[in-house]
Amino acid sequence: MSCLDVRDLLAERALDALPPATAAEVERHLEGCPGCRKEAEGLREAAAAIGLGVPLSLPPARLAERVTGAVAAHSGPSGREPRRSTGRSARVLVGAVLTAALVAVLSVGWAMSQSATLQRAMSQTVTLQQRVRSTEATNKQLANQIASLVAEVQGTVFVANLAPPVGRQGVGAAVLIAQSSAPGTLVVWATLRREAYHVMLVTSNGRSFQAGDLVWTPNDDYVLSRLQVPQNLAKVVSVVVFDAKGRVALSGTARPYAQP
Amino acid sequence: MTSNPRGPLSPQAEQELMHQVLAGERDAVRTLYARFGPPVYSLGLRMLGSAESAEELAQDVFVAAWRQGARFDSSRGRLSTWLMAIAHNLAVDRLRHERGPSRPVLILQDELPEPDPFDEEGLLVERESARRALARLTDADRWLLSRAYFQGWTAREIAEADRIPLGTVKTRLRTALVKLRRFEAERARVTARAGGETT
Repeated sequence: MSCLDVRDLLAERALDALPPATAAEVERHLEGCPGCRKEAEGLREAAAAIGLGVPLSLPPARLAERVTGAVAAHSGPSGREPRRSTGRSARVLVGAVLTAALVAVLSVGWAMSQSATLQRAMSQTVTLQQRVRSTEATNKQLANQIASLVAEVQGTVFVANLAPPVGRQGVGAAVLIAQSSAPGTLVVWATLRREAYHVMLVTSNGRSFQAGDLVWTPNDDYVLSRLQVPQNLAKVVSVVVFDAKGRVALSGTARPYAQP
Repeated sequence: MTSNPRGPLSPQAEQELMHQVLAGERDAVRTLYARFGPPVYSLGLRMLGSAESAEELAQDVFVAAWRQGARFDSSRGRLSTWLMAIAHNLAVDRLRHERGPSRPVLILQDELPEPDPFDEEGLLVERESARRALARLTDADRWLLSRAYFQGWTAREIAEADRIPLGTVKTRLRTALVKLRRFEAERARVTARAGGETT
């Protein structure tokens, strides 16, 4: 579909008046076309005004509890438990990715070429992943190693557990190291179904930027290592992994790293 | 989140609220519902025609908002727009599944009711702005939009019912929405200017 074709359909899209097959085609186009997307957002805002213009009716008082209860039921242990997990496996994942990020920051040095550092960080990540998956003893050693590395980093370390939406599989972790006088470092690790994925970071002022594509590794997992992120990573509040169709594959909230 | 808990949320506060909802925080879900539950419920009532369906819709909308929360980006639009789009999409799905003669006859402009005690100040501003923009459309534009928006008719269905070319319906829908967007933008500029003059 060309931009001309899509723009011809955007009003109907805003009114949810497109047949499903056509709507899907339009969505695919919008994922990769900022110009049409902006136009689409404007029209959707106009359509929402129609809904907001409806005279308000008082909902029954019980509806508030019904709604909060329904969300809680979905977000509880049987719903999206991995997102809220603070268990051992989540700590191990974060530990592994955190170590990889710290090792990359401390040992590589900013003067090296980016391609070389990326390669090195990636191989270190993979090696550390293999190590950390093994035993609890490794986990303890890793925690000590992390503690000593964190102490050496000139910056603030944030971590995010990445969990899938309900009904999808996968798990991951992200580490962001924000440094005041140098570009930031980002390492994301994930196990996901074999597909193409990209990572988006959302900042506290509501802005978002693409961090890059996840790279598949021979260990059948995915890694993204970036040592020269120009944006201020201290402002990042969410890490979101999208699949090739623009659907959320994993997401998580970035929080300051606290030793387990 | 803001100095006035009932006042409009800044884009940053909207994003933060959605992060909290995404994390499953009950208070955040309550806040989201308190702000946007009434318009979502009212839209459900208007489109689906019964309190029971409107309640079901509201529940589905807030669960969907939690599920899709990571997609909300306050730099791209307001939270009210995002939620009303979810609500409308789900309501249209229901309408299309339950198409029948019992669908309510719908109109766009009613007399403006007195503000309800549950009404959020921020939402009142948005609703007032929306209603004034709608009032500036012609009757023909409003009728066209009402069938597409409230009754879930496709452009083809409208064209067949009115026996006018499909292209004409598409153009008129687009023109009506563009006008609505322009009226809202004009009103926002006027409001901002008036606010600037009084400070």
